[in-house]
Order: sequence, then structure tokens, then C-alpha cells
Amino acid sequence: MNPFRSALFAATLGLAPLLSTGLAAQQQAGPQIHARWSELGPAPISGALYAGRVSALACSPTDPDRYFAAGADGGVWRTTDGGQTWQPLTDAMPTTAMGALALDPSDENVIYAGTGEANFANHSRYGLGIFKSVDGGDSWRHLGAATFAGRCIARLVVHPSDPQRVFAAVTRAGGFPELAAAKGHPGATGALGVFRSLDGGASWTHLQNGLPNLSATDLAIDPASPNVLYAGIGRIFGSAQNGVYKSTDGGASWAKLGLGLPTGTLGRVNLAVAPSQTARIYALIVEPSDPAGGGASTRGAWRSDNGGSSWTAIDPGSMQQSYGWYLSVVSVQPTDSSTAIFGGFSLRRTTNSGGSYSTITPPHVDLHAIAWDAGGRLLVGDDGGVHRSANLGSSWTSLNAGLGTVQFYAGLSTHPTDDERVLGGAQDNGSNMRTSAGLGWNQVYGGDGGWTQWNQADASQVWVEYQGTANLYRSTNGGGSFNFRGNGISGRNCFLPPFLIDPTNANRMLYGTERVWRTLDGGANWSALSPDLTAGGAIRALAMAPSNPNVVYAATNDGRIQASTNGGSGFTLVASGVPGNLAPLSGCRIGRSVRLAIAGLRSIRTVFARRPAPWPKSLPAPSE
Amino acid sequence: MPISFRMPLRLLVCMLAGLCAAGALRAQEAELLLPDCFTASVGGSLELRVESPAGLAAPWPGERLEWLFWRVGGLQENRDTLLPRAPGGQTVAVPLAASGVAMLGYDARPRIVAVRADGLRAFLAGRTGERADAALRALDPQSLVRVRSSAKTLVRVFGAAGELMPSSVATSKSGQAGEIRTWIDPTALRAGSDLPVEVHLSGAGRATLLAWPASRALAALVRPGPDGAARVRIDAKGVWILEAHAARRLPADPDADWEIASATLTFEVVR
Repeated sequence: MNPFRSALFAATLGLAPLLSTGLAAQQQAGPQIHARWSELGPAPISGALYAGRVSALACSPTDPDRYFAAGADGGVWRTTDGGQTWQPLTDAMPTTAMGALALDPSDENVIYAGTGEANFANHSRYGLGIFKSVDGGDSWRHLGAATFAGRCIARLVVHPSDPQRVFAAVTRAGGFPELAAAKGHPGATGALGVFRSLDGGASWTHLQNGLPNLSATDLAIDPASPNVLYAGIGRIFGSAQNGVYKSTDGGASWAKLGLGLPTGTLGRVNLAVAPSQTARIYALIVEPSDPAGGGASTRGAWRSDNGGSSWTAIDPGSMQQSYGWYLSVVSVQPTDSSTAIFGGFSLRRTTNSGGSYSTITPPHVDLHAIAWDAGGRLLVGDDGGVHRSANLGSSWTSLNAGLGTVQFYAGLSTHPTDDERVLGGAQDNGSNMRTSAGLGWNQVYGGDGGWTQWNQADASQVWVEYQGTANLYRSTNGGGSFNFRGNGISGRNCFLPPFLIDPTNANRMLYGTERVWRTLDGGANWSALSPDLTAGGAIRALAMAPSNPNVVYAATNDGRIQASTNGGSGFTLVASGVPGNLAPLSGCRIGRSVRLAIAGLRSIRTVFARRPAPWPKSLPAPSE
Repeated sequence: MPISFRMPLRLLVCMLAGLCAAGALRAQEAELLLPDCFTASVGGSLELRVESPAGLAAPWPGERLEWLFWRVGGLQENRDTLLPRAPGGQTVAVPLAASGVAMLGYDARPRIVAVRADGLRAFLAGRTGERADAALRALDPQSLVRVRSSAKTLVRVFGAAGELMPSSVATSKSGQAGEIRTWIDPTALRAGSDLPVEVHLSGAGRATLLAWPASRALAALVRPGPDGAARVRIDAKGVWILEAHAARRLPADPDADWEIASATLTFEVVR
């Protein structure tokens, strides 16, 4: 276990913003801190054997048991035994956010990993460029940082006979409102679309002749005529310039394809070339997303049998709910051009070129990646890890033992006395509890797991929530069963609203919508304590001073910091327009001083540390 | 927030009886997927059957199936169709290969049925909470209704040594067109617990949820929030039935006047 990945893992869990007063001293200790970290899991979540979201897959063309999986926020992993065990490869990278993987067709030990998950959610982290390995993933070199940082790589394509020639499909970072997940990165508004390298990734050229400066959500090369490329331009909020583009001169120039394809404003576009019949292309197109992330249902699928000159609609049905901007992928069976797989919320298969479809959803929904191993087996990456089928999706097996890609949201909590016990909420994999040594965790609650609390005075009492307002539940038997404890709470919410237990009185708790709510009876009844503390948003983080629980701070997702010295009955606006605004505010906790952590460039950082009063009228700019 | 109230099962049964009496209305009723037993063993198989919420035996959907699946312990099987072994049979057998809670379910192919106004009015009032307002009173004598139905059940599958693997299958999303998702494994609940659920009836408008234990003469009608979230008080042991509906008019649809989507869930509370 490389300790660096563990450190990143802990930061992802939200530990870093919660460490309060001890954090600065630990940071000053430098590399020594890393030696103290060890992996706790989950790898996998027991029962269903789920791991975390996998955004890209690549399979050896010669070894049917050798795969590479890219965790959307979990780095690159390798298996050499068909998924029975996995090895992390990228612990030393400065980011764990992955968007694309590609093996050099002429040398499978040459691997490219594109960072930044190009699935556009608030939890899809931006990237820092491309990493390249020439030794099968054992070591990596950082490329293209200046060109791509702050954006995401949706697809990487290596020329089949000229391995120095590499193409990258580049997108904006995600989030709602647009670019929220870019966390203010200065590269976030850089060039988009298709890039080409002629020197194995060392330098890159933005291909603009005929291509709009919009997110390229997919890219494919004709393996028989590799000067022919197809790009899916798919700005998720919609553009009339979105669509399928073709180059016949190695990317020097591009033309938008049309005949038979839909016109007008489209959303995300994904495509695939049939390896066994390279004039055949499949495209999956999504409706534009509204500003809040809704409305992006399946527009349809299309097939061309003549290199994109004309297209036929081959409707796979609605398969992406309203968030096709997040989950959209197409792949063609390598030896049978009539068999194509369309991934979204569910997974659909056609074996007759789009004439009819079967649903072949794997054990976890929300599909992001499709690959085929050297034995012809179908692999998918989804919000639950990696799954494989040897019969085109009729039967599925999980390959997630040891695959540590679960993405935790903020709000990890720990048992008051047992260091082995940890509770945390995970992206699309519920709230999970580690009850003993090892990597396996048990899910105690479903949904998107949010903030958790473990009563430090009574270890049998744990709290969890799922997405939405007042979806707050308490267990009084250590997570064995839960009852609703959000009675009376209403209002606007962050996706996962924060809540706290008073460390001196476990019956007193606070909960944040656009207001602060309080219970004095352990959650049986809640009442609003404050007025609206936001500028139209919601409270993103709450903190209470351990030394004086009447001192309460609320950080909102629209950049406000509010402070109370009377337990929340009255708040004073102490800061607004906090650098980064919106998504960057991730948490705060108060010890002798107040620390506000902002998830910004490279890491979660403490940007100021002051005693509760007096509070600065304006906050210092981030240090980097 | 969801609004909960209780409804005498006799009233519910009367409504169901009324729907049955209306003839064609049975066609848009929800379908319950039920196993022969809510516990099973690894290496064994389950017999699955379909019933109406009123407890009436229904033919196995067979060719009407769009997708049938079963998921347990990291494994999943998908089928386009599954037919009874015997011609005319009403059950199918499903093998179980791993321990844990198994989720089994299906989507039926959407179909369009003709429904008389009185039957549709009664259905909408009884199942979706629609008031008998002027619009409903003015229904055409006969409406064409597109029916979408999905059904799901949860079964505990024990290993050879009697072990039951901890489950996150029960709380996983199936991917069905219509689904009642549970955020706690209901098969592990103690009676007296709250069961948080989310109702998803893809594109079919706001849903209502009926929940009742099969042995109880009371049912709860819950109106989920805009996000589909609701909670059900599981206050008795035994088999539970959850049934969700959403209805919407289709003024611009050339094939149907209404769409009614339904999803059901069955499970057993043993503690």
C-alpha cells in the first residue's frame, strides 16, 4: 500500500477539513505524515461486492486476464488475474480523478491515463493533464499539465501504427452551476475539443479546423484507415454545434456529419466505430441539460454504415433518466459489428444493428465505461465498480474485491473508543460502516450517503442521511436498524445537508438547510433557529466550538460565513464572497481557532485560522 | 414532506373489486412479483408468480416481459423472457447462486388498453389520490391508457452453513423503468422501524404509494415528495406489499389519452 494514496483517500473522506487545530502541525511534519496512513477500505462494500465509480477501462489485447480500471476519483488500478485482485498504480500522482485510459495498440505496456473525470457531476473532479507509463503501469510520467489542467479527458486514442501519434478528447470540468467542479482552477476555461500529439504525448496541438471550441465527449479512430477520426462534440448544456464530426486527414480538418442525425440543440454525444466493419459507427445522443442538471434524457441512437455519410435512427429507448450528461457510453463488439452496447442509467444491447434491444444492466446501475477483454468478454465500469459478462450481458460477475475506488462524500465519523470502526457516506453506495480490521465495509444505509455522526457519548447511536432535505435517520443499536429523526425540517438543501451533535449534550443537534435548525431531544423534533443565512443557496457546512458549543459557524454554498455566539439563535454575517464561492466551501471545524477548508487547487486547504472573535472583515486570498 | 394517512383495507378491497368489475380495468392494475418463499438456499431455486394487489392470481407475463433480472451477491442474471416449464403454467423457476438478499424483478412491455370512464375514474381516485373533479367527471366514455408496470421482490438466500451475507443489494437501484427503492434493507428491519423509500416512475408524473402488510386490514397511502422520497412505518412482521402509481394525461400523444405507470415491491419482515 503506497501511503500517498491513503493520504489522498483520507482527504477525500473529508478528514482534512475536520482535523482543525492539529492539521497545521501535521502538515509541517512533511513526508513523515504519509508513513502513518494505511488503507481501511471499502474494497469492496460487502454483500453486493461494490466498489466506487469507474470511469474508464482498458484491456490487454493479448492477455484475457489483464485489465486496467480508472476510478473516477480513485486512480488507476491493474489486475493480472482477471479481476480477482487489483493493484493500485498511481498513488504518487497529484490527482486521483480519472477520465480516460488507452493502451498503445503496438505496445500494450505503453499506457496513457487522462485525468479529470469527464462525467460533469459536482463530484467529478477536474484533471491535471495526462500520465504515461511505458512499463505496464509500474511508473508514470506527467504530460500535458500546462495544456489540460483544470479540464477533463473524456477519451484518449493512440494511432494503431504510429505510436507517437496520440489524440485526446477534452471537456470542461463539470458541476452545477456550470464549472462548479472546476473549483476556480485557472485552466478551467482553457481550450476544449480534440488535441493531437505527434511525440507520444510530450506536446499537444489543439485541432480547431472545423471543430468548435466545445467539450469533446468522445473520440474514435478508424483502425483500418487511421487518418479517419470521429469526434463527439457534446457540451452538456446544449449547443447547435454539438454533434458528430469527422476528419479524414488525421485531425488536420474536420467536418460536421449530418444526414440523418438530429439537428438543433443537442447535449452530450458519444460514439463508437465497429472494429470489424469500420465504416459502421454508432452514436448515442442526449438532450441538453438544464442549468440544474435535469432534462438530459436520451435523445436517441443512430447508426451509419458508410463512414458517417448518412445515418439511421435506431432508438434504444429511454435509458438515461434525466441525467444523460453524467452517464453515456457506446461500444461495439470487436468481432461483430451488429452487436453494440449502449450504457446510461441502464445498459442496452442490440445484436441486430439496432433493430431491437435487450436490457442487460449489471449489478450496479449508472454506466460510464465499456471494454472487451482479449477473451471476448464484456466489461463495464459503473457507479459500483467493475463488472464482467462472458455472455454479452446475460450473466454478470463483480470484479471488485480489493478495488479501492469508493468515493466518499464529506462527513466521516469515528467510533468513540474503537479505532477500527468508521462510518462514512459514499457516492451512490450509501453509508458504510467498517466494524473490524480489513478492507470490507458493511452498508448500513442506502442512497447517496451523506454526512454521518457517531455519538461520542453513546457508541450505540449513529446518524446517517441520504440526499435531500430532512432525510435524517438514527440508529440506537450501532447501525443495525434506523428510524427517521428529521421531523419538522424543511427548506432548501445542499445535496447532502450538514448536521452536528453538540459534544457536550448529545440531545442538542444542528442541521442546515438555508437556515439552521435545532433539536433538543435527539432529533424527535426540530425547529428553525435562524433566518435564511444564504443568498439563495443552502448551508454547506456547520461547525460548533468544542470548548463552547454556543459558538456556531455556518458556511453556505454561495460563499457566506455566518457566526453565532448564542447557540445559533442569532447569526452575524462575517464574510461573503469567499474565494471560489459555491462548491469550494466544504467544511469547517472550530478548535481554539476557526479553520475553513476550501476544496480548491490541488488539495483541500486551510485558508485562514482565527479565534472566533474578532472575525476578519475580509478573508485572505488562497495561498496558491 | 410526505403526507401519510391510513385507509381501511376494506375500502381498498372495495376499490379493487370495483376495478375488477369494470372489466378492462384489470389490465392496468399493478402486478406483484411473489416468490414461493421469502427465504431460499444457495444452489436452490425460487418459484416466482404474479398476483394482482387484490391477491388474484395472474398469468405469468411471459412474452409480455421486457426485462427480467435477479441479483444477489455480486451476480446478476438478465433475461428477455422466461417461460413457465409447463405450458399454461403460472410460475417460473429461478436458480440462486450466492448468499445474501436477492433482488428479483421485471419490467413488462408498455401496452395500450381501452378503459371505460367509470373504471378509470375509480382507479385514479383510489390509486393516485386524484379527486373526482370536473376534469375527471368529463372523461370520455372510453380512454386509451398506456400501461407501464414494473415489479420487484426481495428474498433472503442463505448459504450452506445457514449464513446470510450482509446485503447492499436490497438498497441498490435495479435500473427498472419503475421502481420503489429502499434505502434500508427491509428484510433486516425490525417491526416498528421506518422504511425510507424513493419512488421512481420514469417520466410518469408524481406518484402515490400504498403500503400494507399482507396480514393486516389497514393500508397506508403515502404521497412522496417531488423527489419521490417517502417513508413507510413497518409496524408488523410478515409479508409487506408496496405499490406505487403515477398517472398523467397525454394530450399530444397520438396513441393514448393517459399513461399509468406502476411499480410494486414485496418483501418479508421477520423480526
